Amino acid sequence: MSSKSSANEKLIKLIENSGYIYRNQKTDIVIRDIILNVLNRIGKSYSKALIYQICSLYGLSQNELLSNYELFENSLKRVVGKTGYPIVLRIKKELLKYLILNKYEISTKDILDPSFNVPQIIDKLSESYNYDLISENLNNNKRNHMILLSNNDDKHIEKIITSLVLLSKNISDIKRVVIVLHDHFDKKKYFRSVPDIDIYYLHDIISSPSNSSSSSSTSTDKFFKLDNDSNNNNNNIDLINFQQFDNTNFQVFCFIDIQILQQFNNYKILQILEEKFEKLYNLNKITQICCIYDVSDFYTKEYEIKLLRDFINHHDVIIVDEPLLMYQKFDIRDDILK
Amino acid sequence: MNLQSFYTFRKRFLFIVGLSLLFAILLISLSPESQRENVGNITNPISIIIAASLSVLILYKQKTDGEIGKAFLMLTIGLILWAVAEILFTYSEIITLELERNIMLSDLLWLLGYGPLIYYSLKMYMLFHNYSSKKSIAVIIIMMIAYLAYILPLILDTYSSSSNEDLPLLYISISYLLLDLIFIFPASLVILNSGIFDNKNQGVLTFFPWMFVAMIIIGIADSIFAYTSVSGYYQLEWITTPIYTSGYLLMAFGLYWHYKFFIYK
Repeated sequence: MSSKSSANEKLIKLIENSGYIYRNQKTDIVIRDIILNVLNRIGKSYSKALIYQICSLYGLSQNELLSNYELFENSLKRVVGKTGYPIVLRIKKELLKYLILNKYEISTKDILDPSFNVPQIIDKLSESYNYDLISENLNNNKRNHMILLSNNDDKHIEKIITSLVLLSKNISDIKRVVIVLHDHFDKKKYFRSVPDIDIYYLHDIISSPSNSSSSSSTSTDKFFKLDNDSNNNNNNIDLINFQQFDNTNFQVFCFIDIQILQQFNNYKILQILEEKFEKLYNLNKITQICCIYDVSDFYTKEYEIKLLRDFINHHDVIIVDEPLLMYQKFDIRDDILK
Repeated sequence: MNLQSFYTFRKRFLFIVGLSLLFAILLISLSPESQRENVGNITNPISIIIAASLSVLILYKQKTDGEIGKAFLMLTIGLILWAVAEILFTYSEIITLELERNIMLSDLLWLLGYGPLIYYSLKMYMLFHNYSSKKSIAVIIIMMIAYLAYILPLILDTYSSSSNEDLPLLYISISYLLLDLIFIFPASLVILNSGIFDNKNQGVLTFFPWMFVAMIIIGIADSIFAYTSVSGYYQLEWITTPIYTSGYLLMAFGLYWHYKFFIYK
């Protein structure tokens, strides 16, 4: 668990260092408001004094203390000992009330479970807000190029794909394409109710290019134009026949297991794909590209960080699951000049 | 105040508390025998006036908003009532020289003071210490029953065998004991929960439950006072005075601690 969370921290650090920012400040604001509300109900002077004492004893700023719940709870316990337990219980109660009143997903079992603690509730709340943010982003932007760094948490993937597909249902003449480089991809799981979808298995095409041109379906030819002379030299592979997507509404899902990609010992194929997507993205009015990268092994093996950063950099939205977080590219015009 | 300077302050504070308590106890105990009770009857109102004044200061700074504000309003009312009762008692003992213990206005004020003080102790228990295990609640209840089973027959026996026939005084004395038990119950649970016996759960700022330890001490003093009042052993009444003074002083130090760390200035 700890290795996973430290790996997640590593991944998040990589994303943040690549110029992406976490947009969801709402969870922090809600938590801070609930903490202050609970303390103020005990007494305003008491509340201010307690926060002041914790901050001055441990050299923290009020913002640092209230924007990190675990830091708050630990500091509270250190300063007031067991006396802090009822305060934590009140915060838990208020958070549950907030979740219920705002109709966020929470089961009765969780509500009644005494071991269901505040950080878990915050994760739940944060997850709900991030879904809201992702949905909002999908609704507002007709052109999306997002990357979902997944840990095989199908719940999140399924939900995001369903939202994307649902949104595109009203759009006429939309072309849906799935590119797969993943051993455990299950079409039925994700696209059961999706009509008109073409699925391409990248693994077959790359490992045996000659077969692909002869025995694979015609749709493969339509989609991938492979240079017969090149064989395994991926530098010369022209993967996508662009012309067919010009002025077409386009939705593409890529399921890629980075580990399999590593087996080819060549990330170039992915880079070419991303570059093609980027061109498409700039050409068409409605273009939704959702790349789902399985990075579960990111936690056990050191991947080439630079390459991963390069792939990430092609996208304007990054979604990380466990916990579900959404990052957007930091845009100077949007973020500073406005 | 950073952690290091806080610990230095705490050390000094504890030293001053110990020194003050020792001074008050020695001042009464080492006084000439004929003056002991009088000295005690002076230190008692002085110490509770200090406590009540600090409580008023806290109320002024903290205001009455929030649950803690209401709890401290009640504490202040209770302490003022007890302070006035102590002053009246000292007046009757030293100025009017009443030798025999009779029911007086101070008893009424003491009894009235229990109401707000019980509210305070229950409120503070509910606010900050409401996580007692069933085992500790059961242990405290058993101890309280055992205490009552010991003290009530003792007082009744003493009353029937003594020359004192003041029945209302007996009822008043028993009332003190019973009311003490009502606030001793949450006070004991708070002390058990405070981490005083367990460093791991001790908070830096809440390492000692001053007010609740003080309440237990006052409860002990009340038991002795009830016994001496009913038995008519007035010459032994001075024994209660250093205990009351210690209790009130501990309250005052607890209130100062609250003022220092839990009031935003």
